[in-house]
Amino acid sequence: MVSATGLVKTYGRGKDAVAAVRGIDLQLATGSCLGLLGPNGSGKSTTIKLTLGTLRPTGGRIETFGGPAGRRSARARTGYVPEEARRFGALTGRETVDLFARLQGVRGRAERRQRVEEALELVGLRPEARRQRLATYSRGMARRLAMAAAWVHQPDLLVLDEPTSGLDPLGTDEMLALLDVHRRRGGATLLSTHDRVTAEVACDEALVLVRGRVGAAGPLDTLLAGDDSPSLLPLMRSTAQAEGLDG
Amino acid sequence: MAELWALTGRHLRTSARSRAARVALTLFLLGLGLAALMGRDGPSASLLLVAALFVLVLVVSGFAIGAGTVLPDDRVAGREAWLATLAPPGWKRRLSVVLAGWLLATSVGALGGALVGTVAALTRPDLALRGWSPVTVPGARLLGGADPVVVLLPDGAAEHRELEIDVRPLLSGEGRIDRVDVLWTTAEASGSFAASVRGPLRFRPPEGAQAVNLASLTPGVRLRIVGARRLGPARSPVPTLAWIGLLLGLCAGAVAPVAVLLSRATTGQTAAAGAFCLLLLGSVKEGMSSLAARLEPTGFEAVVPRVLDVFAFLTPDAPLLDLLVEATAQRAPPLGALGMALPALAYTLLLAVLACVPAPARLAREASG
Repeated sequence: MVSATGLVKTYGRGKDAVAAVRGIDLQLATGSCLGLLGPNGSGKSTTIKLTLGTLRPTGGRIETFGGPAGRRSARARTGYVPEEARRFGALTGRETVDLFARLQGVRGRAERRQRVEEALELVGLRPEARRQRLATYSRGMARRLAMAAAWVHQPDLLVLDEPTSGLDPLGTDEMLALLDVHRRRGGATLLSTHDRVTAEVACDEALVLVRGRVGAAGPLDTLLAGDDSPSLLPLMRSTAQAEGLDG
Repeated sequence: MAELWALTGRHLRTSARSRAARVALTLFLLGLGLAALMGRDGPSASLLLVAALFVLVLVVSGFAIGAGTVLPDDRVAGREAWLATLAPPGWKRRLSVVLAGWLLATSVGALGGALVGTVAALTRPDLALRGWSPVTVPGARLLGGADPVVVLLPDGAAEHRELEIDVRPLLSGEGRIDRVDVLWTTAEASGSFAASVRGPLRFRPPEGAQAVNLASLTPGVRLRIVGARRLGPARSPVPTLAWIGLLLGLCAGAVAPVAVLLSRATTGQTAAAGAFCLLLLGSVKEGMSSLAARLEPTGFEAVVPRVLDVFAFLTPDAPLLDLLVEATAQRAPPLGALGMALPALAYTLLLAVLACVPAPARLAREASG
C-alpha cells in the first residue's frame, strides 16, 4: 500500500541545506500498522508529508496504492490526522466532518449524514460538542474531530501525526479502538508517536528514526523485548547510541 | 462540481461568521435604521439614498477584497497543508475562494439594495425612482454651437414623454453664467425653458413629435450633451434598488479574483490593499482612458498617457460612481444597464482562470491530481 525506497528529503540549498530524511526504506501492507518512532527532528513528520504527497522527495521514490504519492486517486483513499487540528475555527464540529466527507467523495445527503454521525460517534464527540465551533474546542476534542474527519470516508490508508497527543486516557482508548476498527476493515495505518502505549497497542512494526535515518526497524515486540520502561525513551536512546548519534 | 461547492460553502460560512462581516453588517443596519428614523424632515431622500448605497458599496467591496485574505490565512493556520491532503486539486481550492468572494459581493449587493429599497419605501414616499430609455442624438452634440441639436424621440405614452438631457458646460470667456435658456422646436410647435448650465435639462415635448431641435438662447454658453433619455414612470424602490445593488455587487466582485491572484504570492493585507487600489482605479477607469486620450503624446508628458493606459488595462471596469450617480438622480437603471457590468464580468472570468493556473513549482504535482 505504501512503499518507499531510498527516500531523501533536503530542505534549502547549498550551505543552508538541511537533510530531514536520509535514505529511508519502508513498506506498509494492507491491514497493517507501521509506527514511526523517534525524537523531535528525527524526520517523522517529513516522512508523513512525503507519504501524503504534500512534499516531493529530493531523492529516492515513494509510492502509495501502486503509484506516485499525492496523486488525486491516492488522496481520495487516504485519511490524515495532523498534529494540530484546531484549524477550521469558524465551522462547527459537524460542519467540519461533513466538509471532509464531501471533499473526499461521500455522495448523497442521507449517506453523508449517516457517515458523519457514525464517525462522530466513533470518536466519542458529544452531541452538544458537534454543534460548537472548533474555535471553542480543547486540544483533545479537536484531535477526536480530526480523527472523525479522516475516518468519515472510510479510507484505505490512515496517516496520523501524533494521534494521541493531548488526549486523556479515555480519548486515547477510543482513538486506539478506532484504529482497531480500521485495521479489521483491512485498512493500513502509518502513524508517528512518542507514546509507548499507542505504539504497542496500534503498531505491528516500527521504524525508529534517528536524525533522518532508520536506526532500528522490525516488529515492535522484538524492538521492545526486555524493555520494561513505561516510555519509548530507552528504545530511542539505545538506537541513537547504536547509530553513534547520541548527543 | 460537488467539491467546488463544498469548498465555496466553507468560505461563505467562514466569511459570513467573521467579526469583520458582523461589524460591517451591523453598521450598515444601524445606518439604515438611523436614516429611517430621520423621517421626511431630515436630509433629502436622494442624499440618504446615495449615502446608503455608498456604505453598501464599501461593504460589498470589503467582501470581494476579503477574498485576498483567505489563502494566506489558510497558509498561516496550516489549513492549506491539511486541505492539500484531500482529493480536490489546488485549482479548485483557489477557484472556490474566488467564487465565494464574488457570490458574497453580488448577493450582499442585491440583498442590501433590496433592504435599502424596503426602508425607503416604508419611510420616504417622496422618493421616486423613474425608469428610463435612451433617446438618440444623431448629429452635433454641442448646444450653443452653429447647428441646433436634434433629438429623435421614440414612441411612448404621452405622460412618459419627458426628456432628460445631461450636459457639461464648456469654458468660455464670458464670465460666470449659471442659467441657460433653451429653445426647442418641433415640426408643429416651439417653446423655451430655462435650466442650470450643469443640467440636467428636463422638458416635455408636445405629443406626436418625432424629433426636437434644441438651441441655446443665452449668448456665450456652450454645453456638450453627454447623455439623453426619455423618463418613464416611477418604479417600486425595492426591486429597483435590488437591481442597483446587484450591479454594484457585480462590479465590485470583479476584484475578488484579483485579490486571490495577488494573495498567492503575498500576505493577505498586501493582497487586499492591492485589490482595493485596483477597485478604486477601476471605478474611474473611463476617466483615466479619456484623460490619456486627451494628453499630448510628446516629450516627457508622453509617459503619463502610457501609464494611464496601462492602469486602465489592468483595472476592472467597475462603474460604481456611475451607478451611484444614477441613484442620486433618482433614476432606475433599465435591464440594459447589465451591459455596464459585462466588462466587469468578463474581467472576473479571465482573472478567475488565471487564479486557477498552478504555480510553476507545483505544476508537476498538481498535474497528477
